[in-house]
Amino acid sequence: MSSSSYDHRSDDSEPTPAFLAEVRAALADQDAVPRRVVEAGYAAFAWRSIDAELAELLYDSATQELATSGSRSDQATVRAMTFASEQANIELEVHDDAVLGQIVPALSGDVVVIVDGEPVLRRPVDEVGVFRLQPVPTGTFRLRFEGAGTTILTGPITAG
Amino acid sequence: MSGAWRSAGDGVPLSQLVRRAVEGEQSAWNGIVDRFSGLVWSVCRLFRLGEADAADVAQTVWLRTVEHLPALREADALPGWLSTTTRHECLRVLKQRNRQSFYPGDDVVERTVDPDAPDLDAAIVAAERRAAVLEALALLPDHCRALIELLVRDDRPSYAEIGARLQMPIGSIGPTRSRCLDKLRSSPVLRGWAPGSPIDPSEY
Repeated sequence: MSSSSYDHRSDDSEPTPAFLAEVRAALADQDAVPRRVVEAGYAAFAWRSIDAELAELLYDSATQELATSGSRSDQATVRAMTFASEQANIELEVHDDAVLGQIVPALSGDVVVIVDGEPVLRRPVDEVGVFRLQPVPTGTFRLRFEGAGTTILTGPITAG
Repeated sequence: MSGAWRSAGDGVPLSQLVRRAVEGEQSAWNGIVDRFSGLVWSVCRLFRLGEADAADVAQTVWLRTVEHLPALREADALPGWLSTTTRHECLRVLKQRNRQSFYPGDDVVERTVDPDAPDLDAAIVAAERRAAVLEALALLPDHCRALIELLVRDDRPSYAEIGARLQMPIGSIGPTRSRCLDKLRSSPVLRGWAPGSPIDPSEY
């Protein structure tokens, strides 16, 4: 620490306006984050012990995007999505009144709807891996499959 | 809201927060999230993501961070890792959005950004630098942090008011301010950043 800095005793002295501006900008960055986003970040810690595998969006008929080779030529009237993880894929069809899903290959367990990090709905997966979420979850949610010694978490889904 | 931000991580070095979070301490994790949410959020905003998309990206980034934390060899590498991961997730969201013919949401007008623009790189570096400033600030003694946060506000209170609020004689505010700013500038956290590195020109 240099002694020269002690000389700035005047109230109006601004020895480092650029640096102060940067500190102000840094604090503004922090203040700009919505509180609920910070809290969702806190909640992410709960996944630590669960060791969930993140399933990535592979296909979404709403974007006509197919990230890997292969094709789907059918022009479905319902929205279809595929989330892929190492353990299994999660296939979804969004109907007006429900979301139908299938774990491929079939694994026994439950599917949980997660909103803002909190479970809001839990449904069993049947023997061929099919599950049904009714009504269609509103807003943005994630699905978590729990069972067969594994946990798979999808990316965010907006179905409604 | 400036000056109102208090974090469980205040005063605790990042390496210690990371170690304690890996050991399972939620409050240490919260300290990490508090410290770097601003970085994640401003990178999202640089990609012009709307608030809903940015919130999704932020949550995905924190989920990945929880996964990645035990494998992190150097705590100092975390800010750079966060910035890169956020950028990657933003690009993924933009790729999806841009191929979508119709998107029922308010993000639709904000979806165009050139991910290769040199300005974007510079702006991300500037955001990382501001995150380093926040980290340096978090490591200052409480009275220094409180004083600096009050002094840089746009509606900066009078010295009399600051003195009353921080229980500090008015005459010592100026010298304390200089000492605290010196501490901030010479913080080890900012050592890797050249003094006077370019700051985000769009901000000023």
